[in-house]
Amino acid sequence: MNILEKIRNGITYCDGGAGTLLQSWGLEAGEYPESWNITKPDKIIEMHRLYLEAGADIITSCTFGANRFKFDNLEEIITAAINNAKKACEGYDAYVALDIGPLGKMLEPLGDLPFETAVEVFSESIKIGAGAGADLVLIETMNDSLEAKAAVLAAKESCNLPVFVTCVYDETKKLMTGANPAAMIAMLEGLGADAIGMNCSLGPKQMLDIVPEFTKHSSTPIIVNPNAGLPRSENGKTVYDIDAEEFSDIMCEIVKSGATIIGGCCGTTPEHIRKTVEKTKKLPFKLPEKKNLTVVSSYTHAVEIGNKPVIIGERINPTGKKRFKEALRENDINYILNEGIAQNKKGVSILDVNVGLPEIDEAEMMVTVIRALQSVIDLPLQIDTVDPVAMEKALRIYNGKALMNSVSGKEESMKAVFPLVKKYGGAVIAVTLDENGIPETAEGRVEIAKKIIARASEYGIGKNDIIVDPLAMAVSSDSKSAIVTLEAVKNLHGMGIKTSLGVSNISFGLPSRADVNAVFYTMAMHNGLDCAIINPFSTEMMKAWHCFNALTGKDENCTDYIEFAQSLEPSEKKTETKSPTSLDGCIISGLKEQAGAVATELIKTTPPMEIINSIIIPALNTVGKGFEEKKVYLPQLLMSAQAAKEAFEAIKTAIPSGENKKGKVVIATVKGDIHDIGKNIVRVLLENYGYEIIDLGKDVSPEKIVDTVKSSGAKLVGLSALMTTTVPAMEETIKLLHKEAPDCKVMVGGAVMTEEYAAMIGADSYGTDAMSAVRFAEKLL
Amino acid sequence: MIETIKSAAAEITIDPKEVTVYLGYYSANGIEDKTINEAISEFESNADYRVCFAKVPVTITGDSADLGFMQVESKSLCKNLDGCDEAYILAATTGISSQRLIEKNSVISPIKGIVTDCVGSAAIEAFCDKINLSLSDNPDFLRPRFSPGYGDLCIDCQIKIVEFLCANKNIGLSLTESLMMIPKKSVTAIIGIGKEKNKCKGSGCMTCKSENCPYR
Repeated sequence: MNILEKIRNGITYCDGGAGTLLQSWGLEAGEYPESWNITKPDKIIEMHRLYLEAGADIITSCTFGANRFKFDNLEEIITAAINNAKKACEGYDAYVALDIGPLGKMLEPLGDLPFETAVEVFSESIKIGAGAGADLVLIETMNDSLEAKAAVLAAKESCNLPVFVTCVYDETKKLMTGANPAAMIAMLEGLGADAIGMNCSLGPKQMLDIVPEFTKHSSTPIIVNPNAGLPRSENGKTVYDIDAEEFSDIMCEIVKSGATIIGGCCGTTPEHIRKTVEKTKKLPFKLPEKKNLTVVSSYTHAVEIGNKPVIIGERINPTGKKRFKEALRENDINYILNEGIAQNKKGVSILDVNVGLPEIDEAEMMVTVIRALQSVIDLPLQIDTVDPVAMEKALRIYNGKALMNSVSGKEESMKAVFPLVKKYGGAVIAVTLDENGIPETAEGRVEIAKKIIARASEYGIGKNDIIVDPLAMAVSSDSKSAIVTLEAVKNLHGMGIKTSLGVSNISFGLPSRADVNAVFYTMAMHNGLDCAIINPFSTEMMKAWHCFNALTGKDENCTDYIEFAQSLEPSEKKTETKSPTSLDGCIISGLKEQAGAVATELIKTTPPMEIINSIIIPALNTVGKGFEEKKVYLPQLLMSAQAAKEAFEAIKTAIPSGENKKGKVVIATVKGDIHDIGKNIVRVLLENYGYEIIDLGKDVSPEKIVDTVKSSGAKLVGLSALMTTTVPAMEETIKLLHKEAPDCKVMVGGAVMTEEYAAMIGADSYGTDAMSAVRFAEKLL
Repeated sequence: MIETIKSAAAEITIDPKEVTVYLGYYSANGIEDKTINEAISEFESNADYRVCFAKVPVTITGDSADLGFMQVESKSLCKNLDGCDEAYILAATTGISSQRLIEKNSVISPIKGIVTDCVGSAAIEAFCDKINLSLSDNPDFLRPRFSPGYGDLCIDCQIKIVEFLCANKNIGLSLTESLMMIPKKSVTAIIGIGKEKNKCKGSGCMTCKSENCPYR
């Protein structure tokens, strides 16, 4: 019987803790247990034997930290570990799990470890372990969902062994990086893990509370490996507060709650396992039921499609948006992020992400935007692209289980998309068109939906992961189009198939489109529509959604509706108008909204360049001077800068592109440095003084900076570094710049910088603060 | 043994005055209280305060300090630990969700970003101060917190501290290639356990020799 058959036929037992046992046998603090595989193999084998004798079916190899970051002799260590475990198993009907622990580094975007490096490092260990004869891969003690994903992908890409995954939840039932069980289950099941669950940090009592979260969402066998309670110090030694008797009693409850693969973690001993086996082996065995849920997830939570209608925000899309296109061309990621943040505030549950523009590298931009969105917004994302390369790249680094937009009934489309859904996990929007176009009848569209679902099942993709979009077409050109679409929604809903629509197409070519959209949306929801891509800034659409939920019992006590309705009432207190009505007054006082309004008025009478040169810049200078004289503080300086920015935005439309730009400045935080608050302040001020800023972000390589300088022709570069450890990267960047772009000047700043230090590493200027950066730019450009 | 504690946000008081110091105000006049107070309450709902620490033996020989798990050359650390037989090694953080908040607010507006960042700095210090009080029955006997990078204490010893405390597993703290801490608002420190009341008034960063620091 292989391990996959074993776990489907009865309760399966894992082993318990290794650390406590090995320490009692002389493992020193700071000594790596993995090294004992070579230096004291007998002890390792003895430890495994003790657990086998206690009744464990799965023995975990002593390879928790065996990765390239810690060991040079990886092959030797892992091979020895698997051999030791296999040797211990001789004479037992047991399985060897290759133990894979976390890498101890944080992945991008929060940390600096690239996702693909993590995959590579895990793959390296897994290949060795699989080659040495492990029976399964156990990825355990995962604190971070993205790292868990990297490990599972590595396992899937480098061997054919079953993959078990356990993560560390805390008392709040979340991982330290934020994911709840539902989110982890969605992602791990999508990736094809064979068993999933929890280990470490908590004792069995606390885990007993988490198990129901798993039985509710998981269709996959559930693993529970608790610590022996909580640690405390006794005569300088670490002891745990739950003995074998109590531990095994609670493990009985855990089995009754639905776990079928159980064992222990820190502090548990062979005795804990022996008692657990004795007490639980006769308990009824029940695998989790197949849930067939349609779920997508982010790095914190899951969104289920099929209860309340789900809103997918449509605003991250360049179609028909000049400002958005400009942001894509100029790599202005902040603009795109703000579109996401604003939609999040409006209450959308999923964000559509479309960054396709002919003149940019869509795959690269998609990855950049998704990574950036996932560092600030916790909503699940819908990856919207027709380019399979962009789709795959985005799916790889996506932290969670994504919604994919889209697949069609065309063979070519299904061939490209379904392997991606299968490999990375995801729910996919299926549009009802094929080689013959879009059927004119509801039946025709349902037929294509059935074809897509049947084809998906050949890839092992369930009906629950297909969300059919029966396509809303302009009612102005075909008066039956709305009826056909609505009928298709109703029929699909009746067949238990989830549906989605891009609602606003329906009103194309009509006046007062928002009203038409809102009524159509309401009708579609009434016919069972599960989700819709809409503009959440449209009050009509949000009204339709809130009213529908209130009227159909999906909004208990109409709580959300009431809150929404109240937010619509005009607030009694109009924002009080503060005194300055002149533009320079607004800027000096840092009044953002007013500065915009006043500037909008002003362009009706004054040439835009005159506003900039004789009002905005002098006002900024006044504030800047105050800052230099320590009469104005940094927050005030920034408030003025923001007010000036609003004014700029207002008059931008009236200026021929490029006329107001003074010169280009490339700014970046150097390689290895992830702190960018200072650089961002410099950016804001330089922008306000009319410079064209190319902001390369943080942790930027010298090569990228030099390449950007060369391709843009910028004559000034601003570099920031926070710590002594990153100053060498700054020096390297300056050297390369002086060599490759000798006429470009470099100004530097940052916490560790001094005038002397700056001169030593060859900088042309040192800035103590953001104003000095402006002064240097003014002198130079 | 390594102890791990998780503190509720309500237990940590972030002083708006401290925030203004980090914001570069030279006096607390004319500050926009509302912005700071809003940032504090937003930070509090995202903070996930965790700390892990362990007691280690201290042996000083010349300019070399032996802390059991590591040996470091540092005049300033030896001066700080002079007369101590033991010390606490500590790693504390405000959690990854607070880092996401700072990044989000920086996207929304630079001022919101910088205020939230400064709230984070004040928060981690406040948290460490609170931990200091609970470490020992005689908190007055504890020496000022001494962190890698202070004085001549090399920043590399950060690696050993994080590894020794299993800070990644215990509190979710990790280091980048250039030894920056993730989550960003984190502290690692060595705290000497003195035998008498600590006479040194300077705490935290004030013991540092850097003359270039914007906060002094």
